[in-house]
Amino acid sequence: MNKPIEEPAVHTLTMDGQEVTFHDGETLYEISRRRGAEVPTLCYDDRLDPFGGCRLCVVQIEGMRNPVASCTTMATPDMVVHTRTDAIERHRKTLVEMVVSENPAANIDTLRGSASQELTQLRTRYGVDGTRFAGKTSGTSKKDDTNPFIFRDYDQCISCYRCVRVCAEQEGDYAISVMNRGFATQITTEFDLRLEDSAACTFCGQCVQTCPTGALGDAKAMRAETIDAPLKATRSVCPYCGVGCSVDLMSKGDKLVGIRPARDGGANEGALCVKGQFAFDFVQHPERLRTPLVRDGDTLREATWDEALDRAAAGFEKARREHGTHSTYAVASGRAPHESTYALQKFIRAGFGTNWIDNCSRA
Amino acid sequence: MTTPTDDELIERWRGEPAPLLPLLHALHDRDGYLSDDALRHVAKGLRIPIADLFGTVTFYHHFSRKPPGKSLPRVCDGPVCRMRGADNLLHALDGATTMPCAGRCDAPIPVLRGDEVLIGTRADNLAVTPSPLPPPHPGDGAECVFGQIRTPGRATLAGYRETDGYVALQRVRTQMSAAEVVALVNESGLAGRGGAGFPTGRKWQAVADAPGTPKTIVCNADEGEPGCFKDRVLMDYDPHALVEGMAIAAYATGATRGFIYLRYEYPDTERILQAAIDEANAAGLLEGFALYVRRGAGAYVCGEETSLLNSLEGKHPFPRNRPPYPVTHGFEDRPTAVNNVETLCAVAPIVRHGANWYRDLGLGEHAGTKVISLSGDIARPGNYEVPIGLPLSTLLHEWAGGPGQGRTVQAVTMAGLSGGFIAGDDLDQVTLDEPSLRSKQSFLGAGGIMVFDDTRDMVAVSREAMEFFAHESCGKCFPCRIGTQRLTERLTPAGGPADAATWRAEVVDIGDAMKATSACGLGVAAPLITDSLLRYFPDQVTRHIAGSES
Ligand SMILES: Cc1cc2nc3c(=O)[nH]c(=O)nc-3n(C[C@H](O)[C@H](O)[C@H](O)COP(=O)(O)O)c2cc1C
Ligand code: SF4
Ligand code: SF4
Ligand code: SF4
Ligand code: FES
Repeated sequence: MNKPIEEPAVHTLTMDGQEVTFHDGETLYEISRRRGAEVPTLCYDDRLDPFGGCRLCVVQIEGMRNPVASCTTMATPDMVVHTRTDAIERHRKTLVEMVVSENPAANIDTLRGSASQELTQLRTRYGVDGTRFAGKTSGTSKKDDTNPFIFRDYDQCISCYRCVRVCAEQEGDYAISVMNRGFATQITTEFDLRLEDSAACTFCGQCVQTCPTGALGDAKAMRAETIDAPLKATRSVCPYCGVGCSVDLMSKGDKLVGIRPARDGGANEGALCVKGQFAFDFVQHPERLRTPLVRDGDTLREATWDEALDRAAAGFEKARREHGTHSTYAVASGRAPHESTYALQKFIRAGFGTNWIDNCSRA
Repeated sequence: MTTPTDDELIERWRGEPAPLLPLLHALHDRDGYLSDDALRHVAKGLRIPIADLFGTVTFYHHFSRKPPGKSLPRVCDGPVCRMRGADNLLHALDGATTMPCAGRCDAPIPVLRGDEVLIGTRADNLAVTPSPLPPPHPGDGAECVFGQIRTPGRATLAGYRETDGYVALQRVRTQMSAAEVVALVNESGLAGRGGAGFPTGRKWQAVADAPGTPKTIVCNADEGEPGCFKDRVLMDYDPHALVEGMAIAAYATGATRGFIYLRYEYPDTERILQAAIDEANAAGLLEGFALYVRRGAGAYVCGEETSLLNSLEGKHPFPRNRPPYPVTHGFEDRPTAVNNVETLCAVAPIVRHGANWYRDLGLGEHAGTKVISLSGDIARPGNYEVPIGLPLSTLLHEWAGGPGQGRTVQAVTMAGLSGGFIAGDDLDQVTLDEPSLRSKQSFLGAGGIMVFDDTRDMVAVSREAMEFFAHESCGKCFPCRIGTQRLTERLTPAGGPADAATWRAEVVDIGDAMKATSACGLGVAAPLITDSLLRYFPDQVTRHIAGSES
């Protein structure tokens, strides 16, 4: 009996009347997604361990009394699953109405973060206008947290704990957690300190980008809320270090307004560090150089490219004449694109005849 | 004695199993509260992220974060204590705050001060009073777990041995294989007495069969359900029966360690249990089975077995997603049997008297007995061990003397609060067993029954019940976290929509979503309160919506 090893077992089950194959270890939700069944979720982020908090993903398995959360339920052979019965759609609508009743704000600017429209979209899908189940609202915003990066608007928080879980599971920082219980739960740092005073937060912004309501907002991007132009995303690579995280440069008109980590970025899968996420103001900073400057005695004055390049060439030439070939050493900027970095090493090796070339990237 | 430092306490507990709760208690006992510094030291010593530790500490009702903290009185505001004047007592005591039902409904009102439980109805008659023993057995048949509980001295090893104590453990170890013990428990029909009613033998079989060691027996002594106080009396008067039951469970499953997870509100019980374990250890009765008591810190949901396991492990006590179940992935992800106190206390008598004896204690088709904690508007409140299948009316009127003079029973709760109300004609029709109660959309559960006579406002009782669930909801899942809050608001005078049809539709839809989609039993059970209120008391609901609470 020579069975091939490591061939993952393939089974079948029935979902919404159709036979589906699956592998061991797949959840019902993963299968439903693969099939394009639009099972709603709010606490789900495919990078995180399934949590089972929002209960929107419930499905009915034949032979079971109650629906089950599809995100936490492993598929087993021959299950018969219905992802969208009348009863389940009714419960989902009730759940959306309930969660909207604790976060009545209707217009959350999409600048707040990549996932910030998830709740808004479910409002539309289920036709929820926010009038049902009126009552106390939950969550206390932290308006005193003056850090320049993360806006903590917990009035919009729905206690899905994606922020807490991404911080622990993806970042490994454990900077935030859940305090109290029930309707009084609140996202917190140690001793409810401001984020900037907590020892663990690195301001990576992961929590912001997974938040499905905009309760956590990208404070830098939100500065552009008043600019009246469509928001555009341009795929690029973070210029800071050698990891090469994929980013979407977010712009309005000709203004760069924010950075978003690319979920499909091979190197980062939706993660960034504080620099890649938030340090982009230099790009359009008013003090950024626009023309070459040359020095006359103690003062710098504007010059043409030709004059500046001649000056530089003369300086290099003089150094080489007086101190020899290896008096020149070049360090490429970590922010320079790949092609420029290549050109620089070519320039130093071929032009100056030395191998003294380096790059500042040490991440 | 010098006061131990943080480091000394951390050193004391760091190497022990399930160290977080006892370490936090040691600091809380020392200072009366948990200071920032102490928590920072614990986080470092046990390698827990400080934000997580802080969040988890705030989960528990009884951990104070500022002085004087622990020494301030906590007054029970459970349903029965409210009827007995808990509000007045609360206002009469300096610095007092409330705590949910503390398990003394048979002799209210308990006040927890430090590690003392005082009982009384006024500030000037509070006194330390031992738990009441069960009243003399009123029934014809035999009792199982209460069989010897009234024998004086039964709580000591000597007294326990005089009344057949540890005979069963001896017999099991010398004459039976583990599989035979499991088979015997299966035949007896013993099922979980903590709420869910899962067959005990099958649970033990699953643990015995599961790969991975060490295996663990956890005794669930959290008894947080309002109106339940049966586990307390079993542990206070018959602690060795529990220890013996756990040792037999360990033998049957191959477990080598055990924990008794005890609710915070039973400080005397902790001392009694520890004394019994020490005696049993000294007598060499627990060889190969390390048994520990771990004290909770005030959270009803920690009675839910997976939340309990997270609490024991020092994690945030949200319930876990199941499957996998504790029988394969329990304490520290190893096979674990979680059993209720009453379930475990029934084991030694079953071994001594046989499976058929236990089975036959039930009436008709039903196997065995159940302890009912009976309280509220009833002449003789207390713990009664009833044959399963006993008519509710027999218990209420023949065994316990009925309601007060000239009063009638308007409603009773089932399963503490979790089974909602039984009222009207059903009071005379139901029998105390799951099939009968389930046919009325209720269940027996842990066996707490609170009685409300015809003077009580059932909407107000329902609101207090829902406040309890809202207070205890862990906050993990949306339907329960929001639903318990919204239902409480709608049961509050002038809460919710003024239009009766809208009010009812909202309450029904919230309840339906909670029952169908909640992640644990708390959220599934809470709406049984509103369901049964609407079913039995539509007129009181109508008056409530109209703004004139009856
Ligand atoms: C919210 C909630 C609270 C519970 N509290 C308790 C409790 O205090 N004691 C208990 O034994 N079981 C409690 N249970 C039931 C346990 O989850 C579990 O079923 C039981 O401990 C198993 O023991 P048994 O099979 O011996 O009954 C609770 C369940 C829920 C959902
Ligand atoms: S910014 Fe990063 S480190 Fe800080 S709380 Fe959010 S996820 Fe955690
Ligand atoms: S802040 Fe956002 S991600 Fe965090 S729990 Fe609230 S809604 Fe969820
Ligand atoms: S039902 Fe309630 S107690 Fe249970 S997991 Fe959900 S929120 Fe927590
Ligand atoms: S996605 Fe399954 S419960 Fe939220």
